[in-house]
Amino acid sequence: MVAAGEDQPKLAGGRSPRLAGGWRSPKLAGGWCSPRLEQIMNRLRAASAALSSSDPRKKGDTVYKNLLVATDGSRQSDKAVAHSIVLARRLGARLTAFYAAPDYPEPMYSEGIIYEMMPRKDYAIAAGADAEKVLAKVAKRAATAKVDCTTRHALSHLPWEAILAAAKKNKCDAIVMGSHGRSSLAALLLGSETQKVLAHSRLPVIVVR
Amino acid sequence: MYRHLLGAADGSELSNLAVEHAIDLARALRAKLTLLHVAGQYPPPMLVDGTVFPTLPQDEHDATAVKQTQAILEPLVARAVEAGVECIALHESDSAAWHAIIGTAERLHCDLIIMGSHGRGGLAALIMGSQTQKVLHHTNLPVLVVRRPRGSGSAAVPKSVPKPVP
Repeated sequence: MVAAGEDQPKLAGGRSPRLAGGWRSPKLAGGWCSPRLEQIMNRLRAASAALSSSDPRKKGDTVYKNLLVATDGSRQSDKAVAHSIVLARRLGARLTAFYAAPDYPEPMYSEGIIYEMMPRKDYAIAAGADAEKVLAKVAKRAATAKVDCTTRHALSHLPWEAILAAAKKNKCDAIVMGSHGRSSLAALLLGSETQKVLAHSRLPVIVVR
Repeated sequence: MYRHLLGAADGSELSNLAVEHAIDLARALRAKLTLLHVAGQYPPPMLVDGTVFPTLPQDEHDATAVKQTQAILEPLVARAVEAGVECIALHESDSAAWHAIIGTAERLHCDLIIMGSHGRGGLAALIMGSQTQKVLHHTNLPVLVVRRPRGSGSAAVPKSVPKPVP
């Protein structure tokens, strides 16, 4: 496949490819490139140059049509939101912003008396209002970027499960989330919810740090 | 936005799928794509009773690594170029794949790393591969993790975990 001599691919051997700046041909960059591949690349470069006047991208020919962005209102997830909006815009995709609110705290039983923090109905309304506040910010940012955005929230003890369920329900094809959210005790590592979404998701996940 | 994507490939089915995602994304975003294969480092010679046993001649190891990289990346690059994506293939020798992936991404100023959720090490295919885990832990770049779609492969993931009893 590879001719001997000049065209023999050179092994970097762990050394960095010499790529000082700008984009160069694979050979200059120190990567290997077999002659056959170079032939194909040259031919296609010529073809793409001829086509460059017209955008080869067809409408609806996008990788992801509906991105789900999971937010919890934290600064980390703000970054994920920003990423998802730009990505959705560039891809011409829709955006589904999702907030998993903590579920109703179970009433406490003590000596035969039930202590309830708040009636269940009131809690749902309060949590909904809370979610609205977080999601409205996302919707506003999406609207400024002219991205079609829907907002959803759910009450759940398990945010990661709610995120996956929302992705399925809204027929999303990728999930964008921060590497960790509000409880970023160990900012070095991954957040627990992100970890679990990654472990259980069948969809591609973009983790934004 | 994403102007230069880095796809990591180890020849596994899932990493090929991840590269396909990378090609589609690069095409849609009109971004450059760099594909990286990390081959194992040259194994150090063994010392036994004062005698040095080289595990493999260096040239031979290098040649094998290049051949392996070519076998893995050549069809992927061809596919990328066919899709009209500016693509380059790179090879690194490093005993820690995650280290080489992050290093390459930083050196080439990539702005998104794309990889499968796990590679060839199939033991813990249920959760995350160790290299993906480490890349996620150690990089500041966004990472697109591609999972095996439902119904393919042997990994049986439970649909949901039972809710804790309050």
